[in-house]
Amino acid sequence: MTERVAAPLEVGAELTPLRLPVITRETLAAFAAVSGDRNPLHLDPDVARAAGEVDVIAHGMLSMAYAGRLLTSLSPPRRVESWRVRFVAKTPLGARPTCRGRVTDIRGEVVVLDIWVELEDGTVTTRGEARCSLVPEGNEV
Amino acid sequence: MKLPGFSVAVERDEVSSFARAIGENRGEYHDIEAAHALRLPDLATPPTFLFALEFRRPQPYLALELLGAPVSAILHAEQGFDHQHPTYAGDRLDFFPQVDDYYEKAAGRLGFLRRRTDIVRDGQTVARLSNLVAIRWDRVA
Repeated sequence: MTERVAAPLEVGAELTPLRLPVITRETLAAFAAVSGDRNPLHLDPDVARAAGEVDVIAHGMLSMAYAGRLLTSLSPPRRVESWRVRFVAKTPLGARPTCRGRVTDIRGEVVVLDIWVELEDGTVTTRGEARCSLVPEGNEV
Repeated sequence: MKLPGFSVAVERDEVSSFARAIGENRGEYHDIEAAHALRLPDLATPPTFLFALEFRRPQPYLALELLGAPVSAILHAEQGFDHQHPTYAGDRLDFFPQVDDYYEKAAGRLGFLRRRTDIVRDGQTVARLSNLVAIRWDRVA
């Protein structure tokens, strides 16, 4: 089991970056199967080329799902109250995304984080803000 | 404009498969005993899992079809999650999707379709998903 990162929850603190393995066709096929998003832009090179891409591109929601692992790595487990992102650049086949986050505010029992995903060349593909409850999830049940 | 509603029973296997596909190995997504140890009633759902369930909608691309847009011409531009209550394996969730807005930019070369989906469990709203896709009309043959 993966360890939880006991992030120092103070304004300005950076979360430990999450470095992902290289994005392959298999990565995208597996994500298409579990996410239900079988858009051929992510699976079929011919369709991707016809749409003006060099090859298939990764699902935006794969980057967001990876970034969600930053949120679930917080200790103790935090409830994600709200989270929105913009997909600002495409993730090509062969990319190695890294997910990053920074605490921007702590308001009462809510911690606010900037969350983003970048590629090896520094291109940010996904960027947004999450609000997580400081009350551990299980205590609310 | 309201889109057809639908209902989904959250299966443990699906939660676990989704988590595995994104490299999320924490026990509360795979192991009922680990979930119980965190005082959760069943397996937790990863932060973006509801988007995958939402893809179960009967006609996943109905709004795009009404606009005459092929799936390969769309790019995911924004995604938001607002969670009022956590969801778990074993939940039965009712989905109420609707189109909020459609507008064009760049002299009609780009269209933007905004949707939202309210998710209800036992009559109580547990989450809202917000979705914006860009339609690249200039890539449509």
